[in-house]
Amino acid sequence: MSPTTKIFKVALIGNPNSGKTSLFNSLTGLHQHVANFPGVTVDKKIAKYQIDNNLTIELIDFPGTYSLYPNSDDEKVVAEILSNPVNDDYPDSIVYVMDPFALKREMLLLTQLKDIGIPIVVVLTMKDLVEKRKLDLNIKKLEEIIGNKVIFFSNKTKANIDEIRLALKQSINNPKDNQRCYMLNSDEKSIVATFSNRLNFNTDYQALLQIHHSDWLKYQNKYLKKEIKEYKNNHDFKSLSFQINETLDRYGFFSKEISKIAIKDKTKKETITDKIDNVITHRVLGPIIFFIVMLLLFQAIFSWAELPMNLLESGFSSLSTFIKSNFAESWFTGLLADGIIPGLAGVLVFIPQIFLLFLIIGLLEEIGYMSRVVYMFDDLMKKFGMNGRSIIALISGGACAVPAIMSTRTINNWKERLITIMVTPLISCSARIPVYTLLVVFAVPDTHIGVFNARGLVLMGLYLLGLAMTLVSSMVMKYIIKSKGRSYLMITLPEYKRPLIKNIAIFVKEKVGAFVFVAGKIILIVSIILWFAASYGPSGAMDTAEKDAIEISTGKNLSKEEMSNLKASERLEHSYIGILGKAIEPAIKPLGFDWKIGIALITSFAAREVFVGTLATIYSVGSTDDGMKVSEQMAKDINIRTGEKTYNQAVAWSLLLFYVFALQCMSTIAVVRKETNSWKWPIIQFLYMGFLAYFFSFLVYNFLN
Amino acid sequence: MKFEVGKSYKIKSFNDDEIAGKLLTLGFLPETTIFFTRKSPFGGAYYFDINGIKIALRKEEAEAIIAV
Repeated sequence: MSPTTKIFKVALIGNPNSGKTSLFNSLTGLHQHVANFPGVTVDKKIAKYQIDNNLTIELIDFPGTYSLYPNSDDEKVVAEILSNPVNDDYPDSIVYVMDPFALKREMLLLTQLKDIGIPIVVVLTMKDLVEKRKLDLNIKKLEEIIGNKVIFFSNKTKANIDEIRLALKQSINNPKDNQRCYMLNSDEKSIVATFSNRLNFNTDYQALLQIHHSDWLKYQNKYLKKEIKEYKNNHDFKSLSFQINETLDRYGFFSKEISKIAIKDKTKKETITDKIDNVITHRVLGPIIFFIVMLLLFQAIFSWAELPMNLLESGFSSLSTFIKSNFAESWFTGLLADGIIPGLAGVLVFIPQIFLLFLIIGLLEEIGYMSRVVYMFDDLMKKFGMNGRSIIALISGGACAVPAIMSTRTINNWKERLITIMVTPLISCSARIPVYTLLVVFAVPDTHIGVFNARGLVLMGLYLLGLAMTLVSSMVMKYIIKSKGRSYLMITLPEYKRPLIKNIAIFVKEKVGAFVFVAGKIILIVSIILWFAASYGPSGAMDTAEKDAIEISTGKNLSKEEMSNLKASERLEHSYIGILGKAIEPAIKPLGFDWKIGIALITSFAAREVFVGTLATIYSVGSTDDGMKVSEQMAKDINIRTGEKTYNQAVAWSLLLFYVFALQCMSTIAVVRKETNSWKWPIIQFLYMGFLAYFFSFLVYNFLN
Repeated sequence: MKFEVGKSYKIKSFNDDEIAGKLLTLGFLPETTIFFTRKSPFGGAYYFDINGIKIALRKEEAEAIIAV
């Protein structure tokens, strides 16, 4: 191959639920990777696909859409690229994926694609389903009607995959133009003619799209936008009603012939999907079933993930111990054993939960349940300024806010998406659990209320408090945040189908991967910075602290282990982070927190559960994984000023509420910044959650004291 | 217009251009028969069946449809 070989791009396009992504997975397997379409947070899945020894193409999975008149940001991507022949992702060929049960509807987008003027290969999916039900579909006839090669494919059996290969090869080597479908009306013709020398297009329809979509297309400059707008106003160009007429015209184009061959369920009998939906989406049973499914989901992520999480934790902590005891003491072993390895552990320990969470969500999505959930709860969520799709984010937030916030991309209204992003971190995530369980020991006596353990009840109460504040905050934001455009539900509820393991595997791999790269990077970097700040201090201060520790130890006749723990604690107090902890003490004193807690608050920005480890170091417990030891030491701690215990009930409650509300998580801040593409929203989020935390901690501390 | 659960309707037109444009792309075409299967648990979303294809609309979206 010469270095100048052009890489041909092939776009996979189709209606949502047409089996498009399954086809992409069948063709490319695990060799795909996910990027973003330029300038938007819309997933772009790409994979190299080898057609034969001489030809490798780049296959791009475009967002599902019903038409080139888009409803959401991801649908806009399709119109943005296809209307612009000089776009980097402008395809050389299109695979149009069709669901054989929705042929009529799919003709709309097909005729639009034909008018774009890119060669098209049509792939009809679900061959197995059509054959299983002994339904009749004349492929030859369909090819005649639409004038394109049609391949009938099954993602299950993969029959005819070679035909797809061959057809693609042909469409690239001998591109065949399509017949045009829609004739521009006279107003449309004259506006295209007026601007034709200012626009870059191959076909008239592309020019028309550029004019219809002028107000949001990214590649059009503002002077041209202004002129087009003026022209539309002056000539009374009715963009919206022209689009409607065009759509109706396109439906008419093939409809008669398609009606003749389209699959008709002559039986008129209830399908399996109907029967399932009679129960699953029932007005009373539906929510009950959803509640049970959620219980199972949380049961899975909290109890099944426990063992692998413990194994990971103890594995990493023994690795740290091993390094410290087998290598000479130097700044590097310190960085490795106390900075990098705990940092990595902090990322990896969440993987079992996130894996299970997305395994279950992926399965529910794949069989078709998730869109039913969206349908059932859309109106409820709308009362809180959100959307049915927000439910998936809020559920995921119970494990970790990072993947949860990334999952809001499917929400097509900006305001609803933003509110979901802003409130999701109020749902108690799994990193808060170690903090809660440690503090609840001080906050609540070990008694029973009825059959329930009082501490268990308080833990549940903290979760509910987070959830309640999520709803209150979203309700408030509904009135504050301005809306951009109307919001829609309009969702297709696909037929229930047996899940393809491969699709779920790819979904899970993608989500876990995204977590590791987004949160992982941040947690690791913050851990390393914190390690430096905790290991170094102003010159001399650390050495004096260490000497003091040795002196005290010899004076008190402490064991070697006790001495090294005391050393660590003294060093931390005089390190940069210790100084910072003392510096913020005045600010957190009204909440009942001293500088030691201040240090732990700062370090827990890496991930909340670091709070426990930091306290372990401060109270010179040594081993960080022994929660009981930490709480014993904390229980003994005396406030120098008052002579009272530092962790009385008031302080513990104050800290608990602080962690329920505060945005103590760098990764979340980073992901919000990425998804909203501005610093404005993460800052507002940090401030409002910080205010809630401060307010409630202050209240409870002063009330109990 | 208002719809009743369990009844079939034939679409005639729409009373909102913006919603109409979107409903058309989903297959809500004039002269098409739609069946109103059920309401959502809280009543704000409607479950329709168009020749075997299931689509959920918000109440306001559905009410932009004029049908007999």
